[in-house]
Amino acid sequence: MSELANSHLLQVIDLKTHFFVSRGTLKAVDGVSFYLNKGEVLGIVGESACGKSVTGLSLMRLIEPPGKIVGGQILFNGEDLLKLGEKDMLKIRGRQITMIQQNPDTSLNPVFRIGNQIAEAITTHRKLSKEALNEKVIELLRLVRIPSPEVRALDYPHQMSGGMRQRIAGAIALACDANLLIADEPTTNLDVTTQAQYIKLLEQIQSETGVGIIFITHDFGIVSTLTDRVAVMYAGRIVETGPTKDLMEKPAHPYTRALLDSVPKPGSSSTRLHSIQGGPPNPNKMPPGCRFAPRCEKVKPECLKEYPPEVKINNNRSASCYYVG
Amino acid sequence: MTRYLINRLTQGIIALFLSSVLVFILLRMTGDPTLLLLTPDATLADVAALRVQLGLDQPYPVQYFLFMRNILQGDFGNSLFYHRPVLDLIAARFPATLLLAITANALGMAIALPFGVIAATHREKWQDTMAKVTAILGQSLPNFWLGIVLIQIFSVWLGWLPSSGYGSLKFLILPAVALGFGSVAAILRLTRSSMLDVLSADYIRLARIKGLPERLVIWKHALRNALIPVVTFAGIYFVRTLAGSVVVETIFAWPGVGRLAYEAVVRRDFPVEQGILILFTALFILFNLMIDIIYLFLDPRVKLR
Repeated sequence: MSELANSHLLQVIDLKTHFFVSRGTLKAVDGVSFYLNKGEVLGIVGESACGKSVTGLSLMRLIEPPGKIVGGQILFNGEDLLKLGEKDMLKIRGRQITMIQQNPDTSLNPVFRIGNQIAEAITTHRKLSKEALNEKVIELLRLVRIPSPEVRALDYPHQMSGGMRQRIAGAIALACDANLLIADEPTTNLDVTTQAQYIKLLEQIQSETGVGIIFITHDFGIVSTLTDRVAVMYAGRIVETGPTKDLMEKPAHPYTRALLDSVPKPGSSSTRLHSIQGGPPNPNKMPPGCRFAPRCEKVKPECLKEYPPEVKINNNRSASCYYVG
Repeated sequence: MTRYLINRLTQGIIALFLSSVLVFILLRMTGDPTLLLLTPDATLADVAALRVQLGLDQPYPVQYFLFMRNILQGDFGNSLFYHRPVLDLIAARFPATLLLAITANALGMAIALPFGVIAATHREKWQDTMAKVTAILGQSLPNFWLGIVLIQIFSVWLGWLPSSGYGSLKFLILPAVALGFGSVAAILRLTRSSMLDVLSADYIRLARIKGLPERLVIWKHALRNALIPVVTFAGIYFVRTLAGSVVVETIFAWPGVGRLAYEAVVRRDFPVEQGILILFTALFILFNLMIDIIYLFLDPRVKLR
């Protein structure tokens, strides 16, 4: 893969982000590797607390104490972000890599007008005349389909609906034509209709701007409509990755299969929904072997001894499981 | 907004009325001023004559009625000691009190706000510990004690600053420090906890996501939100220092309303006492209303109802 590295927009190698708390070391992200090509949409899927959000924040180097990125590489356009000083990182954040957060209700500053909040995202990275800046703000509001943008720019966040606020967060993220957008469950707190509209909007924006997106979610429904490839994450590691359609049709890892089985399928006659027994391991005391082994229906003795290596299934699919390969 | 103001004003007037009753009753429980006004060899007839002259022979309800009627006409009576209108006495002393209160609070804010922010951004580090120590000292050291210690150090030992009086800036420094130190403690703690609250908000992370330097994240995005509760408190504290500078003004012989109040108590000059108490109650109510209005500008989510 190394000779290919330069063609990737982003390549993450063996990323480790740990939290040092009084209870011990929480290995929230513990050896994560994946890549993203230019203009590609990658889904990172997993249940709550599997480390997917921490992965997203690590990419922006916004991990706050007691958390710390303790190892690995984050190659962005071939440059390791973990080797940059904070000053250089400021030029990347918001300018080249940007992010939409989960909660639309709290992600905008309540005391500033939304027009100013969008403008700030622009002026942080480039100097524009007042007119050009205003124009750009209106244009961004149009891009995220805010009606009568000239008027709405003067609103405060609390004067908008949750869906609108989330679109404003999108406008802020897109303000500097970044190459990489990390969307951390941006639709979780929206109602289903608004959620569908938002995903559609994101798709349109992606095809208009060609921005690469890492979409963090627990929802396979969104993954299947939005993403080109998926990485399935469990207990701080990626257990399986591959093209979305292929992976969803033929999951290789028992965890992926179990996750997909727990999604209700339209037209399915079964009345009971599959659920995975037990809960994810304590990030403080990870099992020595496969982290899914304690919950896995097909567990065998070697699964409990050592973490299974990543096995290539074909050119663009791989999984970490003793049953694969 | 208009409705809100009318409501609040009505409430204020009721509060003012109740406090006027309270002031009236309390002051009449403290004793007979005529005994202090007359020489020790005065006869009972002299006392009775003076009581009639001052209206003290009337039943209390009648006295109160006359008292309120006069106040509503802007007449707070005459000082028993100075034989001058109470309002004139207060008006003459008020600028000094205002100057002291503004300086003390400005000084307090100038120290408390930045240190509160720094304490919050350096949690559990030495900056935070320093701030905690300052806060504990400020809260536990009474200002009369601090005033005396300041005089001892800066006036007696070092001889840098005058121990009492009124005039140039030199005279202002010690009383302002003595009066302002208490506010440093409270505002510092409040700023710190308010900042800690705000700093964990998603919109602070958004500011960082935008690529804003930490300086702007803290001093613009976080502080602007953290200030909202601080302003309320600072406003209330300001009125408190305005009305509560009695001790500091007395120690530093500062010719303000506080010392006037002290002297009035000693001389049992109750028209002056009640005038000061009622005017400051009104000031307190007015200030609370002003704080609410300032809120409108600080926090766009607030709608006054």
